[in-house]
Amino acid sequence: MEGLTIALIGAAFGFLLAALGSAIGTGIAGQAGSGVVSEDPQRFVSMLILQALPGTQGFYGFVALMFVINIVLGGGKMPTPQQGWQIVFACAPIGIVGFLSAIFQGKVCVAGCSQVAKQPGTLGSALIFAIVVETYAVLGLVSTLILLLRVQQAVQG
Amino acid sequence: MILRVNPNRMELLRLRRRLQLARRGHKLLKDKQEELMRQFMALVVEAKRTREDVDRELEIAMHSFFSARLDSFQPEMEEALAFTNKKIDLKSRIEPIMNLRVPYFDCAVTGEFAYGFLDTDGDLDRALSMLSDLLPRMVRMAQLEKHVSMLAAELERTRRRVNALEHILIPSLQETIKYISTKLSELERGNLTRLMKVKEIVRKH
Amino acid sequence: MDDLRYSYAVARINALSTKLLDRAFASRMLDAAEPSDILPMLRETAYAESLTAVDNVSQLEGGLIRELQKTHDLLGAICPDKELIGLFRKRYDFHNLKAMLKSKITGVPHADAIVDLGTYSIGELSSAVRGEAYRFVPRYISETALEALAEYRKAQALYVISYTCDRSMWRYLMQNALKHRNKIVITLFRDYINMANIKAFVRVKEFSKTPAEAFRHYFIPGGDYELDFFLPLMDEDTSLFLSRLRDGECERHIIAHGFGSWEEDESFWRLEVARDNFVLYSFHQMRGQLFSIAPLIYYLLRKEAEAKLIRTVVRCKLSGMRRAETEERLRYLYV
Repeated sequence: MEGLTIALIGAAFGFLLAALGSAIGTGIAGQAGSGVVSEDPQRFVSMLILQALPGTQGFYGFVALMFVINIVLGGGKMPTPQQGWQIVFACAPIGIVGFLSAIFQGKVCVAGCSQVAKQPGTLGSALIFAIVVETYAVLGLVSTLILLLRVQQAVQG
Repeated sequence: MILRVNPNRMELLRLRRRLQLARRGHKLLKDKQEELMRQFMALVVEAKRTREDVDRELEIAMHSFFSARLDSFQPEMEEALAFTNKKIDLKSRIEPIMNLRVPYFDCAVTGEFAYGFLDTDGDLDRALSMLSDLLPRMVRMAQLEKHVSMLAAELERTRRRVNALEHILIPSLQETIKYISTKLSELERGNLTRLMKVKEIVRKH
Repeated sequence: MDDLRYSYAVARINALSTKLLDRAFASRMLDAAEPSDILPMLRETAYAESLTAVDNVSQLEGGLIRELQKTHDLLGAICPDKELIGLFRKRYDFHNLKAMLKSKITGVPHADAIVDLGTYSIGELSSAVRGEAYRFVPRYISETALEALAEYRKAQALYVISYTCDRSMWRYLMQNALKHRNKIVITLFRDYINMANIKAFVRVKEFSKTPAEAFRHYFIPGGDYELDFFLPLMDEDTSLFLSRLRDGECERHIIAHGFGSWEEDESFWRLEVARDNFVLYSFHQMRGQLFSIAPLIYYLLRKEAEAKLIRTVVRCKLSGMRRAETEERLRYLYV
């Protein structure tokens, strides 16, 4: 297999998992939000914020994907198969961490929805709970990017 | 009070007989009154005790029933209680106490409750078992109280009769007898005087 | 395992649960001078809609049933496991069936004894029972009806209908709970069965002339205790029996509170209060399980507890009971 193919598979999987997690996360948070809004329409804005939070992992996955494309198609050189595998593993953190953290963040947001529904005015604390989960998605993205930077140097250098 | 009668020997004899009869009647009635009183006192004590017992247990039963009704919906309670094949046979007969004809009741409950244990709680059991125990006793209580009231009425009547005999009839009979006998001896004396007068006139000639 | 399908239903129920009656409201009701003052108070709450047809306190019962009907309808509509939440309505199907069977046998009209909360149409059920044509009714109803009638013909006693229907109901509920493999519902039903058995045991012991015989009838299989556990204890003192029960969380709590003052007045309502308190408390603990059926059941239980709260306060007010005594009878959520 060519290095390019392997690298693209890695990038695709990174994005796929992260986006899938985000889809699930926003999905359940959205359901919960809709449940609350159907009883109390004034809570719409809070619910929207809570629903959007698990969506970030998808973006991170997309950022990683763009980065990989930049590596493999940006310069004149193609990655070797070995470098392709390196890219696959570099994409793993955002893919796996993003997938899991999005789902768990979704659950935290569902809990947040219930909490805000019961006690309006606690949106702040609900957001903080969700953002703690977010930090790990961010760390996943950062580690992916660091790894990819090393690979880029190897490919281009 | 003197009866309005002709003061003659016939009347006297008649009145004497009446007095004798009245005395005998008075004694009999007096005895009856005493016996009635005795029975009445016994009945009153029993009736009072029964009523107190029934009242107390009825209160507990109603309290339990109240508790039982708090936890279930009205229709659930209806279901537990409305359908039952319980039957109450109430027989009444009349028997005499002294010369009184008083009613007696016999109450027999057959059948059972038909509720399950799910929608009901134990307080209902207590209420119902107490209430079904109480029913025959309530019937008995009613019977006792009826007896008491009938005896009381009879006692009252007897006492009036005794009083009438003792304070009116007998004294007036006695007075009348006395009056007639005085009158008769007056007549006798008049006759005697008249005879003596006649005898004196006859002797003068 | 989290069941993500529940997030909508649970969030909606949590939003709704802000409208449930709370301690402050219960205290206001208890402070009301007249029973009739409670009605306007209820009109300010979620009960307003259900109480539109209620003019005075004596019709309150109908309003409470309507509210519970609304709750069941809502839960049935939003719960992802419709069959599972539907099990909580089946109780009324069995209740109505029982009433109709007894009505058919005794000839007493059943209109007052029907609760319109079941899953099966009352009209159809009624005509099926009247004509003894059970071919088109659901199987659990037809089987129960036929079994109850057969037992009745054997024993010729009306209470046979009651216990046959009750037992058949628990068998059905337990089977379905097991089929869905829902631990929460299974535990709840098992606790209910245990409590029903313990309650029945104390009741037959206190009031039946042939306790062992009667208990065989009223015993409901499917709980943690078998029939063999109870029968040898039949001759022992009630208080001794209570100490013999296994030290399960549920039993210990309920018995401590329900029979704590048994010697005093031997009343059973404490047991009911303790059972409800325990179940409510255990579901209160589970309120954080946002991806399970627990919050939905908790909401339902709280609605049922509310109906009991309102009924208790109104009845106690009507009978002129003192506030402290009334409070004793309320579920812990409200005092």
